[in-house]
Order: sequence, then structure tokens, then C-alpha cells
Amino acid sequence: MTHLSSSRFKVPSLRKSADSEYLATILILLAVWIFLVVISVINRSDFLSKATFSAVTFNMCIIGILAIGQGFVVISGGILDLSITVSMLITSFMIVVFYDRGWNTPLLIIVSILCAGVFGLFNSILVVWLRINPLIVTLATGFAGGGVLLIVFDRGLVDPKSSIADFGTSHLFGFPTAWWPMALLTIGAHFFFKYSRFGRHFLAVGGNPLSSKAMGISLKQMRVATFVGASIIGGIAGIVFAGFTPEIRPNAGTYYMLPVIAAVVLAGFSLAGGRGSFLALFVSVGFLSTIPTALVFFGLESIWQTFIQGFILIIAVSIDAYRIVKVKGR
Amino acid sequence: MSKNLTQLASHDHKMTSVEKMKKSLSGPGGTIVLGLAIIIGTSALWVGKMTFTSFNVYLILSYLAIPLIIGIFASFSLLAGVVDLSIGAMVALSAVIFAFCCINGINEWISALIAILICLGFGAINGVAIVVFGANPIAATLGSLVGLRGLARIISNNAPATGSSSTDAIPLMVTGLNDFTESQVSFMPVLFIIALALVFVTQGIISMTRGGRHIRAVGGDITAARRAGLPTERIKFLSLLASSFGASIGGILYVGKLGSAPVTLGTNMEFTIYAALMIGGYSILRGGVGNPMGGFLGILIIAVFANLVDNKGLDIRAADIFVGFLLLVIVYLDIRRGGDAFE
Amino acid sequence: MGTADHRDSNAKTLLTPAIEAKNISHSFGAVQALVSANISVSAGEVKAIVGDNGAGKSTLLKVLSGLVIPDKGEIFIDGKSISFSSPVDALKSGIQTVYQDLALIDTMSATQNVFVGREQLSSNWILGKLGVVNDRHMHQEAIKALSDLGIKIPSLNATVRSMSGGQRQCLAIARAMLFGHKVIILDEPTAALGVHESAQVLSVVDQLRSKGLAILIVSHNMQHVFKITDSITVMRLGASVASRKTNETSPEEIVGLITGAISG
Ligand SMILES: Nc1ncnc2c1ncn2[C@@H]1O[C@H](COP(=O)(O)OP(=O)(O)O)[C@@H](O)[C@H]1O
Ligand SMILES: [Mg+2]
Repeated sequence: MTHLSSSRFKVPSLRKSADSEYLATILILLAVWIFLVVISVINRSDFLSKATFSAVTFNMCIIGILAIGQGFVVISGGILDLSITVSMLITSFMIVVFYDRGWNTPLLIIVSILCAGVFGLFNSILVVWLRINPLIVTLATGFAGGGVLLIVFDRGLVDPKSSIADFGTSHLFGFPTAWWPMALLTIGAHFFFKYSRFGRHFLAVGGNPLSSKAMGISLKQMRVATFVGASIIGGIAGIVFAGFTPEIRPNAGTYYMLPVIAAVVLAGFSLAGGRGSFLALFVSVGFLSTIPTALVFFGLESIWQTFIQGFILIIAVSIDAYRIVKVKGR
Repeated sequence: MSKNLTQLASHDHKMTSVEKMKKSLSGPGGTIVLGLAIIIGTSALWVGKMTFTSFNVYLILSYLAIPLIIGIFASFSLLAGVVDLSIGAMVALSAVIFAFCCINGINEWISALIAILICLGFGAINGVAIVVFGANPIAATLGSLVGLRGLARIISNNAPATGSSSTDAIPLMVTGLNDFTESQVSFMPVLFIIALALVFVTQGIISMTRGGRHIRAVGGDITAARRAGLPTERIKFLSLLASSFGASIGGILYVGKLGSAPVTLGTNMEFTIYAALMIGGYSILRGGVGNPMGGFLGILIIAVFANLVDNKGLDIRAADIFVGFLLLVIVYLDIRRGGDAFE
Repeated sequence: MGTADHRDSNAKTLLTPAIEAKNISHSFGAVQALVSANISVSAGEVKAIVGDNGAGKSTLLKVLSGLVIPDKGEIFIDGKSISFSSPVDALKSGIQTVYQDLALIDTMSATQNVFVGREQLSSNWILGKLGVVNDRHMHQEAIKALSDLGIKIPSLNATVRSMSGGQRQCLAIARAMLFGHKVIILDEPTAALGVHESAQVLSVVDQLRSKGLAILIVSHNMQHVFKITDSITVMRLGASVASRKTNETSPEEIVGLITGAISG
């Protein structure tokens, strides 16, 4: 029957491959980013400077890593992890705690990231065994986690002579050292989802959980892996955060939550799961991280940044939704 | 109306009133009432008699009145199946615009009108993105949340300095409005009485009127509602305007109450209000469920707990731990009763 | 099968069809879903549309219910040309469709579902103006409609989420009957049902016919088709390739027409 049906196609099906779709997103984001840089340079030629470069790359460090964690959850069909900044802060605070006890650096890094992992495990238990929707679970644990952090740790002071602080303030190959974990994670995530079997499973579960289950992928295992993985990535952000934040406050997360989700959505990740590119995410993080500096060069106070970021997000999701509707021909 | 319902029910099942009570107590209503009883009981045991002094009751009611007004309006969009995350930012924006206009010598009523209209304008932008372009409500209103908070700060920074050097708030004492927000009838704040009246009116609209039915239908199943010939787009759009309207009113009232318009006003308020509404039986994941009475009880539970925390001199953020925990318990119980489970 | 006594269709063929669609063509992007398809059904007639998956049956029904605006073709109601620009137009012309997904709102009660979009307002002048609905009256009408069709549903006040597949299907049909005064369109009404529930739905369809409604029904189940219908239209690759009186054909012929082994 299929060969008969296909005779009714007026033109051969030209279904775009996922890759070319992502490429289009990347190119558009790159174009917008370059446009922003170009008009900033035309406006003030000293925009292209070491100071700008350093400001932008520092901006990218935290938002970039958290966005990778968030993108991981979104692409795997976990909707959103609204508690990812809690994972970050758990690690940052634990670093301070363990450092004060005189632990050596590698050990305290590993253990404090694991603490974030345990938090992620808790999330995933609620999702998998109590079957509560992840958006509600992470809303609740984000709330409760923030409250616990505030009660347990008033604030954390990072010793400026520690190797963690060194890492946060030094440079490597022209970039801030703290920029590299984000870059490496981006490349890692890209290859993981593109080429590894495990990565494919995440994509499958995100795209269509029921048929993935029918194909023998354990949804439970994948959900646990998703939320533990996201929390561990959040924990890596926590190390970087501890690196360049002399005084860590329990409410520091609220500043990052929204730009991170904005970056993921702007990069074309479908909140329904199964679709997204980590290279596009890198570009989107870079673009969003350039806005504050560019604004300063335009003589606007940096407070304009959130206003503009917000409306870029609305426009981006509207265009994206409109495109999907048109393709479907609804 | 309740007589009507009784007769309808008796058409189907000859239920005794005891049976009916059992049934409604095993439903979401029962969980909420139980939750409320537990939290009031805890407060009575832990804080003691003070819980029930009229001054303490006044404190609780006064604390929840404005969030209740905001929440009731926001519940329209939840019911229609669109989450509006921008309400907290909209509260701040409305407050800042109102204060900014007043400080610049504009009449208070006109200032309030300007604030409301601008918020409705941004509500309409949400509506266009979500309804016309089909954007994901969470993503789009998150954009508004970020953007409007930024805008509130921009306006606040450009307000003429009046004595206080901080740019984080526009100080403004509108005497009439302040008196209004502080006035009370015995132990009941007038604002609370108004909010409660609003709850009852909204309850009537939702359960008894055609418009209410249509909102629930759109939230329950938009395809089915469309096929029944309902103007689904218009209903969603209007519900988003309703939530912006409630937030803008809330912002103005806060200025009256606080005597200033802090830019951080309403930070995280969207999450607290939606958590409270979810505790009260609404859902941010699907529309068509929940009712204003439940929403009121949900907000009351959180207010009583916040009061408990306050009376014990604990950090107010401890209330967040409770909110998070209670949210999980309530949603889990709902799933056990056949609510939407994840996968 | 095939010997039911209700088929005195000679008289009916003389009538103008209640609804008729001529030369309907429609494409979804590159897919041509309908190629000059024709269909007609008269009052008191039950007509089946059969065909392989993707033959265009659902699309043709959507054209008749105003959900899809066809690229080409004409629609007539009682012989008068008409064009639908939205489902509301079709509803106004007395055409009611029961979609495959039933279009019931899970979170609402059976009564509320029956009347969604057509709620009756309170007869009290003020309450009516305020948009207050008359639940009691709607409830009674729903009970009447359901008992008319011999449908038993334990509680009309429970949310439809808790109802069985057959009950949901019957409820959707009852709703269509209550508001469709001309044509009822059913898309695979028995596809998801067991034997017992299917029999219930078929008897409801029989009731509708005796009320003088025109009924279009898509089904893959030959047994059901031959048990209930007066005539059959076969679709293949977007075109209506043959029409037969049910009592003048056989399941073998119809299957042959569907697969293309026999050419219409
Ligand atoms: N909304 C749509 N968008 C694109 N193609 C569609 C759409 N609806 C139907 N089609 C295509 O039109 C053809 C006919 O579909 P349909 O009418 O559903 O067939 P049937 O109900 O007979 O199985 C199929 O090839 C189907 O893929
Ligand atoms: Mg079909």
C-alpha cells in the first residue's frame, strides 16, 4: 500500500534532516551575535577590546554550564529542572565546608559534586517512583532546597588563596581558566548526543517516551540518569562559581535561573523534548552574554540587559512556534 | 445552587448526606481541609494561644489579602490551561509605574489607570505570543518575567530622587490608599473582605456561568472545545489579560500598604502563588481543574505557615521548605486518586 | 447479515440528499489527500465510507464538518450549494461530527460535555443576563436524550474521565444527536470497542436512523458495515471509486474494491 500512496506525492518529500535544521539555528544565532558585535563596534570602536572579551567570556562560564545541564534535561524529555541552581549552590557551599576542614582539592571537588548528584537522585526518585511531573518536583525541591541552604549556610567565604579561587581568576590559552569547563562540556555534550548510544537513548526517550519504552529502553533508568546528570553538571557550575565568587550567598541562584532557560529556548531546544543542539546552545549563551557589555557601550545602564533579554526570548519562542505551525500547515 | 446540585446528584445515586460527605472528604477538597487543619493545629500547639488572638488573625489575613487577589485573577489563566509566570514581575512593574507617575505629580487615580493599562498591554503581548503565534506559555511568560522585571528597575532608576538615596525603591506615601489598605472591620482587614468577596464571585462565575464553563472547557481539552465551536483563542487571550489585571491591581495595593514601590516586589511571587493554587487543586500542567475556593484555602495554608514561622522568629524562607514539601505531598495524593501521573 | 428489514431504500433514493459533496480535492502540502471525491447521504439513510488507511476518509469527513476547507469542490445541503469557512458553519447547518478522538473534555462531567458551547442559561431574567447556566434543565435533557437512545450511564455528574470507551462513544453520539438536526458523521465509532460495547453503539446508530437523520459512518469492520448500513461508498487513494447498496453487494466485493483487486 505504501508504494501506491507515495504515487500521490506531487513532489518528492524533501524532509529536512535534523542536522540541517540545527545548522540553520546556529547560523541565525551566529548572524544575530555578529550583528550585535558589529553595531557595537560601529558605535564605539573600542568595543573590540581585551576588557570586552574578558567580560563576555566570564559571563559565559556559569550560564553556559548551567544551560548545558538544563539543555540535557529538556532534550531528554524531563521538561525543565527548576532546581538546577540549587545543585550549583550545594556544590559551592560544600567546597567551602570541606576546604575549611582542610581536605585536598581533588577530593573536595569530587565529593562536593557528588553532593549535588545526591540532590539530583532525590529529584529523580520523586519523578520515577512517585511519578510526579518533573516541573512540579523541581519547583518544589528548588523552593525547599533554597530554604534549606539559607537556614544551613548563611553565606560561604572562599579563601582567596585557595586553588579554587586561583582557578576562578587565572587565564589559560587566552581565555579565563573558568571558561574551559564550559567549552569542554559543550563539545562533550555535542558528541555524546550525536554519536553515543547512550546519548541516542536520551534523544529517543525525549522524542517519544512510549515508543522508546516499547523498544526496550528503561524509562526509569533514563529519568534517573537525566536528573542526576543535570545536578552533576549543575555541581560543575558550582565549582566555577566558587572560583570567582568571594562570598557565596544562598539566593545567588535566582540571578541565573532565567537567563539559563532563555539560552536553552533561544537555542531551539523543544520543551517537549527530543530536539536541540548543544553547538547552538553555545552560540546562544555567547550571544546572551554579550548583551550586557554591548549595552554599556551604547551608554545604556546594564539594567537594560534583562529587559532586552526577556523580549528577545518572547520573540524567539514566538517565531519558533510560528514556524512549527506553518510547517504542520495547521 | 447547592439545592440544585443536591437534586442532581440524587438523580443518579441515592446518596445519603453521610456518603456524600465521605466522598467529598476523600477528594481534593478533603486533602486541602485536612492540610489546613494540620497546619492550624501545629500552630496552636507550637505557638500556643497566640495563634487565635484577633491581632494574629488580622496579621494572617492582612498578609494574604493581596496575594489572594493576584492569585484569584491568575487562576483564570491556569484554568484556561496557560500558565502566566510574569505575574510577579507585573506586580513590581505596576507598583513602580504607579509610584513613578504619582511622584511626577500625576493624579493618583490616573496614575493607577496608567499602571493598569500598561500591564494589560504587556498581558496582551503575552497573549499575542501564546495565542497568535502559539508560543509555549512557560517559555513566553518567562521572557516577560525577565523583561518586565528589567523594565521595573529601569523605571525605578530613572525616578527623581526623593531624599532616600536608594534606587531599589521609589518611596511614596499615598495617604488615602494607605488608609484603605490598612483599614479593618473588627479583626478583618477590609482588603481581605474584598478579596474574599472576589473569591465567592469568581467561584460563582466558574461554576455557574456559561463563561466559566467555557474557560474550563478550553483548559480541559482545547481541541474538543474548538470543535464545540468555542472561541478558544479569545478565551485564552482574555484569561491572560485577567492575570495581568490582577497583578497590576496587586502592585498598586502594595504601594499603598508598604509606602514605597520596591523593584524587588513580588520576586518569586509567581512560584509561591502557583504552588499555593496547586495545593488548592489547580494544576500548572493542565487546565480545567481547580476552583477559587480551593485556591483560597491553598493560599490560606501558606499564610498560616508563614505566620507560624514568623511567630517562632524563624527565617521566612523556611516557609519555602514547607511550601515545597506540601506541594509534593498534595500532588502525590492527587496522583494516587487518579490524577495525571508522569509516564 | 444483510437481510435487515429496514432497507426499503427505493423511496429514499428519490429524495434529494441531505448532504452531498461533489468533486472534492484537497492537498496537505505535497500529499494529495482527496482527488475529486464524491459522497452523498439522504435523510433516514446510513452510509458507510470504507477504504484502506490513508485513503482519505477522515479528510472527507472533515471537509463535510468544516474542519478542512477543500481546495476544490462543492457541498450541497438539501440540494442548495453552501460553503463552510469553519466548523461553526457546519454546526449551524445541522451537521454534527463525532470524531475519532471523541472530543470529550476529560475534566468535565457528562452533562457539561453534552452541552459545552451550547449551555442553556437560567430562565430567571437577571441570572440569565449574567450568564448563569441552568444545570438542572440541561441535566434533564441529557438524561432524556440518553434514555431515548437506550444508553445507560451510571452518573452524569461524574467526570467523563472515569467512563468506559463505549460509554464515552455513546455520550459523544448522544451529544451529536441532541444538536444535529440533519446529518450525523461518525469516524470509526467502534474501532476501539469490544463486542458488547460495539453492539450498543450500533443500536444507537439504528435509533438515529429511525429519527430520520442522515448518517455517515467510517468503519473498518465489514461485519458492522453490513449489519448497520444502507449503502457503502469505497474510497481509494483519495478518490471515491464505487458506491453500492448494501443489500446488493457482498463483503468480498467491497474488500476487492478497497484493495483495488476489483475496479469500480
Ligand atoms: N493534517 C494533515 N496534514 C498532512 N497530511 C495529512 C493530514 N491529514 C491527513 N493527511 C494525509 O492525507 C491522507 C489521507 O488521510 P486520512 O483522511 O486520515 O485517511 P483515512 O482516514 O482514510 O485513513 C494520508 O496520506 C494522510 O497522511
Ligand atoms: Mg482515519
